[in-house]
Amino acid sequence: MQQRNNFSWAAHFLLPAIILGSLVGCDRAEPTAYKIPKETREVSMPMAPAATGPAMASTGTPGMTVLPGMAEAADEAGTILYTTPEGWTDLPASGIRKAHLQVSDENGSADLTITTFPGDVGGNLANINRWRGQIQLDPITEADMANVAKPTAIFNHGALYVTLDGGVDSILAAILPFHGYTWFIKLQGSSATVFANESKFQDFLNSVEMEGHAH
Amino acid sequence: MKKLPYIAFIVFAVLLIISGLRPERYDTDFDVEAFAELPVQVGGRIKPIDSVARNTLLIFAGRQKVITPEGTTLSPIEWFMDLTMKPEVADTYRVFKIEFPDDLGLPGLAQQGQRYYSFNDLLPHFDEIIRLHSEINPEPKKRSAYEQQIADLNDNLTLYHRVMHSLHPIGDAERLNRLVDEYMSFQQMVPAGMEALRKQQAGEDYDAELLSAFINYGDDYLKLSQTAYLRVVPPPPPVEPLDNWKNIGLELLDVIKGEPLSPYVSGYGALTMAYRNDQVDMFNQTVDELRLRFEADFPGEIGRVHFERLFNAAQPFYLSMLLYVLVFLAVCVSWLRWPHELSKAAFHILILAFLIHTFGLLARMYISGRYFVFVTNLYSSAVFVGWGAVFLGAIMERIFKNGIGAAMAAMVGFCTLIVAHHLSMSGDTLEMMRAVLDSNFWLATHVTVITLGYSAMFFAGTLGLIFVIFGVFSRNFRKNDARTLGSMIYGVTCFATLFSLVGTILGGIWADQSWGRFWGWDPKENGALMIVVMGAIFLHARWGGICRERGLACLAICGNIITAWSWFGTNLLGVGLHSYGFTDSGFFWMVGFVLSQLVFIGLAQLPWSFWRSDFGQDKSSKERKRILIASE
Amino acid sequence: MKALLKFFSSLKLTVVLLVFAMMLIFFGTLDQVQYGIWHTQKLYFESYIAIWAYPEQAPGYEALQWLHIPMPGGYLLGGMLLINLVAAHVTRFKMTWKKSGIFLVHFGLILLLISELLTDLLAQESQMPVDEGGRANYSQSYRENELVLIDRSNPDYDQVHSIPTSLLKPGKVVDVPESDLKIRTVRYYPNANIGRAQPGSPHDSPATQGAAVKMNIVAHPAEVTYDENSINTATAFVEVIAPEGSLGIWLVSNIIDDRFPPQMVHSGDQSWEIALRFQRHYYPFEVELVDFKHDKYPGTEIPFNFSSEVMVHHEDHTKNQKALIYMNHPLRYEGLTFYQASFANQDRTSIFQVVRNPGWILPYLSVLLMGLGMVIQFGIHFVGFLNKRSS
Repeated sequence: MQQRNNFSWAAHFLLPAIILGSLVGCDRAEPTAYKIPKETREVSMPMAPAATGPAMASTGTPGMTVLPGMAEAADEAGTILYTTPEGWTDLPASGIRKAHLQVSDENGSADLTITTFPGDVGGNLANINRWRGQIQLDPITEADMANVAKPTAIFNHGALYVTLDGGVDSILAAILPFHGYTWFIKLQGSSATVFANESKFQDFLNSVEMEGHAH
Repeated sequence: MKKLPYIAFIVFAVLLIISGLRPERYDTDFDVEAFAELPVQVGGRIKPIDSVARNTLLIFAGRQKVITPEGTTLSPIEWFMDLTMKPEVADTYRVFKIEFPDDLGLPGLAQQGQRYYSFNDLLPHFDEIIRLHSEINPEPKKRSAYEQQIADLNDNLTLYHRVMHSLHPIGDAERLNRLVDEYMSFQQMVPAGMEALRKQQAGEDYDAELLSAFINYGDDYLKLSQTAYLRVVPPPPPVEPLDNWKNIGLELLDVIKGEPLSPYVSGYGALTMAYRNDQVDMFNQTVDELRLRFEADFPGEIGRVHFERLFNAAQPFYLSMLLYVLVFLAVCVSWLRWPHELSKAAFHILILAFLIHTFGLLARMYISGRYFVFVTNLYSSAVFVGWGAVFLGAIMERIFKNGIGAAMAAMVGFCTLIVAHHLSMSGDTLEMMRAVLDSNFWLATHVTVITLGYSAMFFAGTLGLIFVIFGVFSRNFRKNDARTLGSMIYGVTCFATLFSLVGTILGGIWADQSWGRFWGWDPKENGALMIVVMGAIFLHARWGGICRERGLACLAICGNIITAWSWFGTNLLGVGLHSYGFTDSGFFWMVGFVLSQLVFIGLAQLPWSFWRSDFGQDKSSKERKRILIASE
Repeated sequence: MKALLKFFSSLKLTVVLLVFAMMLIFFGTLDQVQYGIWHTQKLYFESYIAIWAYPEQAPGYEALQWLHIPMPGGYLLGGMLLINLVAAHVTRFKMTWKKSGIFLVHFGLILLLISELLTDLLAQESQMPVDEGGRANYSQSYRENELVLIDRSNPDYDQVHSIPTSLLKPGKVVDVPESDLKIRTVRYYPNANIGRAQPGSPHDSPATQGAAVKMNIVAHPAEVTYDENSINTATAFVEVIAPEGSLGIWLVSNIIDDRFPPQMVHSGDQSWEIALRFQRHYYPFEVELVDFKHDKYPGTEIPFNFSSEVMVHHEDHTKNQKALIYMNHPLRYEGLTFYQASFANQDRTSIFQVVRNPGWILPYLSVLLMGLGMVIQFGIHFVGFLNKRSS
């Protein structure tokens, strides 16, 4: 009698357990359709307006004055590893300049520099126009940006590949937003030299690896 | 006459304590103690320079002393003074421990019979070290032992460089000898230098010489601000414990903004100059001034800093470790002669050691400002496991009075403190906790309870080991002894299972409050669950009569293996949200430990006839009788 | 029948099952190094059989790679333990005061096992990043992906048509719900490398429309990563089929997100945005991040506090709520729980972990029962032990 009571109690218990157990297999996902409030499409890049930090020496000439804090921030950004393309010279890096390579041929020479800053340093358009200014090109608008800038991937992260032909001098560059910092990899020099080395520049970009405190 | 053995042991113990607590005497007129107590901020915590000196030396050398080329032994703080203020001398001291220099791939480094190398020994190999370092795997968990050695060497050299330049700018002997002058001239130069910079930016004529000197200083101090490891300049009072202090470089840079140079910077500069020029009085006076200034600015913190230095000197855990050895010795002797007196002596020394051990734990709580939190990292978990086991052992000894409780307590206490000592090699054991783990309530409850569960499992396992050893080897082990030991094991395992279960559940609740998942199958959680399951296996095996004393003792020894896996093994793996410490060399120790336990389990499987004890022989004859009866 | 009951209620079975459980947990933990926590959970703990293979990284792999150890999986063991426990209670245990402690502990345990099963089946975890000053009305999974077609033609709302990527099997055709389009999957890569095509290198992209063509993007399949800190770039080539025929083949990937211009599908006078993204769950409320604080210990990167001050704006204004979310202190709202998970963009974006688990209270109940039971059980034992010693 004790047994039978226990039995029915157990049955009441076991049955739901068995049903639950059989539910285990049923995990199918189904297509759905639903309405959502209107969304505005923002370009939500992982950067916000860089309001902080000292104003940059805007010309971007090689003799940029390094102010306290920039170098420190550069150190915090982590290190960048790469493979130097054949025929290019690897020059010492210093301060905010994380790498400096050079290539020369019969048409002239070109310098490749890698720099990094916290935030997005004004945004892609501002940087592209700054570079355009360096090679005597007029600034462009947001709408024209797609003509000179294409998305690419560096070290499996989204980046922007920029081509600026300035006639005498040209720039090939990549802008890589990475964990709160923006890395600028820029090849600048005589147009012929620069474009002759474009595939090597792309090889270089593919060889880039990042390591840093953030990871 | 009868009391002699007792008195002998007690006196010896007291002598040990006194010698341990004796203040260190320095063979110099410089006021080393006062210097050792100057507070600095490192790793988010305010601590005396003494702690930095000891921790840094431990990281490099794995020990707390330095032997100079002349043969003198230096204490950590003396070494630190040379490192920061007479770097050219410190560079000759052998502080970097490299066990197998041949394996590093740095030709010419290895010297016959030498395990410690100086900075100067390593200097010619810097380029090679940097090159090797750039090639190793960036993911620490994936590095081979060799890669980890290179990484450690690189990190140590960097730390050396950074600590060296914590009190003054980077420079050669001449510069260091003139620090105060340099600071003064820099201060005077600032307004003129800023003016020259402004003129240059505006395209006007400017003093190029002055500007270049000014920029040189600026660059230098900028480099210093990134290098200097210690933050020695506190903000002006009133100050919160978590306010940012500044290192020397940052302070000097702030002078450019027009702030006056902090007296702490010039104070350290004066200290350096005085030390280098052997001006004892000047040094002692400056140290005193600095100390008084700190006291005036931060009346609250100074007491804690002072206490921490005393704590460092006293080394209570080392002391209790020695006392545990004494206890074990006393108990072993008591099993041969003078049982009554020596077991009393052992028990009293155990209590003494336990009190010192407890003091150490409480002192750490006071220094870190976290009350009721016994465990914050792997190091403190080891100390606490020992404490818990000793506590259990003392209780066992009081109840059973057979010396076993005391012996077990001493053994586990000693072993865990050795483990803790090895874990302290990585730096500051009072390090700050990450936010998600930083909740005093859960640290005090979940972590404490689970660690007590670990203690109890180890204790039960050690009792199991004793069972096997005595049963197989000792002639005096009778059925009653076996029964008593068996019930001790049972009692402690019940306690262990209870605490492990409660601790694991508390952990689940903590996880649910933190990230919404009661159980995440994370390696550390799995390890804790395995301990609970092990306890459950033990209990159910006993209740079901599946195992008797021998089997249960073996299960208890298994418990040791499972607990070691849960405590350390899970840390070796490279996944999950938990990760208290990096313990790669611990892998071999763990495997060794597991093998040793398996040996004992294997020993226990010997047929009863091989058991020399009365208990074993009794079992053997019963077995033979059963076989005889069955075959009839 | 009796023999069966005897078998299922035996203590020996309990011990055997517990030993298997220990084995399962141990080998599962070892495999977490390879597969990460989440995948190992599926393989070992949410299965009926698990097989452990000798890992490549371990010494002696060449000699021991044949070593595969099968063992009962979590569901099988859990189920058997449940049956064993219930059977034992049915046959052997009598409900007395002396045994009440054990009853409570076991009942609490049963409740815990059931709650874990419910969690496996019903719980849903996702992440919600919100910018400071911004609002978010959806959270997204970090593992599951969906293919979406979004119709933004209506001025009052957007219509989302979503197909989970688990249904995108190459060659299969899936109807797009509430529309007359169909999707045929040409290729599906759970993880891929996406980049611009190198000039001169051969590329066999089947895409005929969209970003793949305009920006010359190609995709190469990659091995799925189980690393806790990496995401898998789910990628697919899908053909959109309208009633009048195929509209073309698009390359969609969860890395082609808001930074790129939207890929459009046009059919007649209708148009949709097509994208592959992490599965989103939309809510009838918006979470606004008022302020995010990230405090570190001075001179270190070690955080000692993250906290987010949020304001929740519900469509039904009576349900608006203000809250402070920080470590160990979540917000429970509308059957969801919001935890402070992480942050980004140099402390300007806070990331919340959003958990929907209807059974979240069960573990607490079970803990209560088990605690009570243990106190009673061990209390009785301890008192008995003391009595014996004093006599």
